[in-house]
Amino acid sequence: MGLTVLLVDDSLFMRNMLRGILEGEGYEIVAEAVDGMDAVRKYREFRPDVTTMDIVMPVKNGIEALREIRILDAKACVVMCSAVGQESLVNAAHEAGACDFIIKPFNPERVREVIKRVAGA
Amino acid sequence: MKASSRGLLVFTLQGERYGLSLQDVLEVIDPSRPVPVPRAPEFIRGVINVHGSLVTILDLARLLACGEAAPAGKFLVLDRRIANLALWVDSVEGFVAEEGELGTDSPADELIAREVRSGTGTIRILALDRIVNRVEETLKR
Amino acid sequence: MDMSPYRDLFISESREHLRAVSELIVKVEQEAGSRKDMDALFRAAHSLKGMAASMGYGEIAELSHRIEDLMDRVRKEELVFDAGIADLLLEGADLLEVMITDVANEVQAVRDIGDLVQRLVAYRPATGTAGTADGGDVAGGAPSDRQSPADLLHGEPDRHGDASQTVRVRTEVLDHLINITGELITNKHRLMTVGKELASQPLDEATVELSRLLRDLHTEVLLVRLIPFSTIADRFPRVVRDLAKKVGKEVVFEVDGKGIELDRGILEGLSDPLTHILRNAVDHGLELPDERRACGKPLHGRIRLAARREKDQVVVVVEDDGRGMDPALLIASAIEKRLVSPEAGRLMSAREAFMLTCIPGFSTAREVTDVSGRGVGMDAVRSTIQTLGGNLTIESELGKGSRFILRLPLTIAIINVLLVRLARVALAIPITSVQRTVELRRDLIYSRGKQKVFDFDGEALPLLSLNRILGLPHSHAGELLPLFVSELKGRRVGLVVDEFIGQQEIFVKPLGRPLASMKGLGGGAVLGNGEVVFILDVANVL
Repeated sequence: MGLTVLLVDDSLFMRNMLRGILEGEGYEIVAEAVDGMDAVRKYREFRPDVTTMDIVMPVKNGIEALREIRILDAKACVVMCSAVGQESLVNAAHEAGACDFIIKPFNPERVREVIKRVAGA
Repeated sequence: MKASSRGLLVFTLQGERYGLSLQDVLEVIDPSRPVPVPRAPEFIRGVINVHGSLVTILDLARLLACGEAAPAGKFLVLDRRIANLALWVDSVEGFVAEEGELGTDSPADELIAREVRSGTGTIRILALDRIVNRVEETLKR
Repeated sequence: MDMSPYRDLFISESREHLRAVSELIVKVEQEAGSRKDMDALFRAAHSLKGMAASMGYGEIAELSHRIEDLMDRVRKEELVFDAGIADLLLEGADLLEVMITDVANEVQAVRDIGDLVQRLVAYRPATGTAGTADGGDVAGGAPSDRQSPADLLHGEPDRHGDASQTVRVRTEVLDHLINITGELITNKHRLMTVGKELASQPLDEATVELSRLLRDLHTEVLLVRLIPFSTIADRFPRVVRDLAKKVGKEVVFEVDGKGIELDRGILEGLSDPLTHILRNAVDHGLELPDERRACGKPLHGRIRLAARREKDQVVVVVEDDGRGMDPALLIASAIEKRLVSPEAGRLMSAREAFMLTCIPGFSTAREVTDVSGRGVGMDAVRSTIQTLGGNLTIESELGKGSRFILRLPLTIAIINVLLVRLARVALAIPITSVQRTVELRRDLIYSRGKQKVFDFDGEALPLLSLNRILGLPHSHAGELLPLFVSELKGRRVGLVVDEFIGQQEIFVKPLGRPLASMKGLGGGAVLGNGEVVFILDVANVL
């Protein structure tokens, strides 16, 4: 059975792209969330193996959502998706307990590699 | 503005009746011993802790130069937007709806905004802004 | 990767973002847009950039990126959202719309974005030079027509009419948060007092645990309030450059420690004092090029502004390599102005002489120039710093330069105090105002003129009764006189009290109107036992 994934991004375009890449690898996308608050709610409901988390989102940003998810589940595996030039956010995410990073725009190879690695860990 | 639509809190001081707009009073509490403020004029009786805020106690009788507050009186804590101040008064008589009968004679004391007839007597309505200003001016010296 | 399946979605979602962008720009410009709207604008540009980059539309990504950057500067309050920004953003949104239509029509059009990108990158507010061009306008203060970020954060009356509204709410929430935390700490002290009386092991353990949690909470709350020094420091190069130009001096200005974080309330308060010190350094500290050449110094004067963290304090230093100050001249000038007596002047150390510059009525300027001759002087600088719970020291060497050292607490709301008792009143003295506590044997007191003095660090310090200063009964009966050494009007003195109660952290509460107008009081606090104490503003107590 494939690993379960929660996709968090306010852009449907981005979610679809990620879905395309990950489903091609046999992962099961159990849910999608459109902002940080939605992400925490969906995480609580679905307990996915891996969460991909956009950083810049309305309502609650990805780093705040990451912190809350880590409080819910200290072992949560969350991969942050950040744009080039957001190094300071990457640091904050690292401190908040992110498992790994994918830099946007998505390079499908890199996405596969990162998800495979964190899922295997 | 319709004067008759406002409620007044009526209190006594040295046998005289005074009033304040109900909106200007946050609460009425029993006196506690204020911590004296070094070097303050004698109408500042000190500071008390009201729900975590520091509130200065003003002895209204001393300010109006008509004696001093009765120990068994009341503290009228003013709305914070006006000042961090509570007035030490002798007793609280109650609330009255301010009727349309505004006093027309301009009071001699500038700390009194106006006088309102009520029943057999008059109620002196305090000019709170001028009171706070005067206290502030005195403290700056 | 084949992106064609995502093309339609890209087009529709991009257009959604562009529509939102146009609406938001107009909204922000016309009706005092909120922080939320600014964030939404930023996010829209950010999303667009990410999508375009994924699709491989480099120019759309580039243009979105520049719009995002400009919005980020607005969000960080480096820029105020004005008509110029609105125009640029709308132009950008229009061009993006055209480019996305090209994508939709599968047209390989060449759109020149270079010019617009250039203008987005180089954008400066049109009014940006008005305040600094006229030096007299800004002496001792932040330029009045350019709001400091701190002003925006604290919602001061805002000439631009927008941008500050919801930001102020955010700051209030932060202030509220720290207030509640302070209350909790006060309550913890109360619990500990009760615990001591009850001598209950489980209660003690619970309060110890509570203490630990509160400390964590306090730290977290403070972290939220921290903003980097660069928030204000980034404005200073311009201040220094403009003034140097005006007075015909050449200055190399360096800033270190921009990343050091301070409480936003303190940073806000620091802006004016630092501006004043820097302007003084340019105007009076540094020599004219000719004079420097004559002394064999490099023609360029050097001014350095540095912030660093030292334990629970932030130290901000302004140093110049200018002419320095002459203690003898300062003392002579103070005597001439009748600010000190000739006798007191004779006893003054160099350190005390430098602090004379902070006495109201004293100005080191030989002639009043239009830049530093305004009412705001070093006395205001020092008093502001002390209000922030910090202190100021000045070091100077004739011919070599001066150094102004500001020590500030990391947080403004909770300070460390020495609790003392005078007659029946408990008073809190900020630790920053206490150089040393001493329990003095009476036989070590001697007279110098009319003054009772004692020897301290090789200096004869005057002894003053704090009771007497505050108009309280004074007995000072004990064998040992408890006193603390502090600075009054630039002079070190020993202030005698009746009793030391101890050192404690207190949560500062404002006295509010009207009591805050009283000189010498810096606020109040509620102790663990519920007792109210006043915080002494030592510098202004005389």
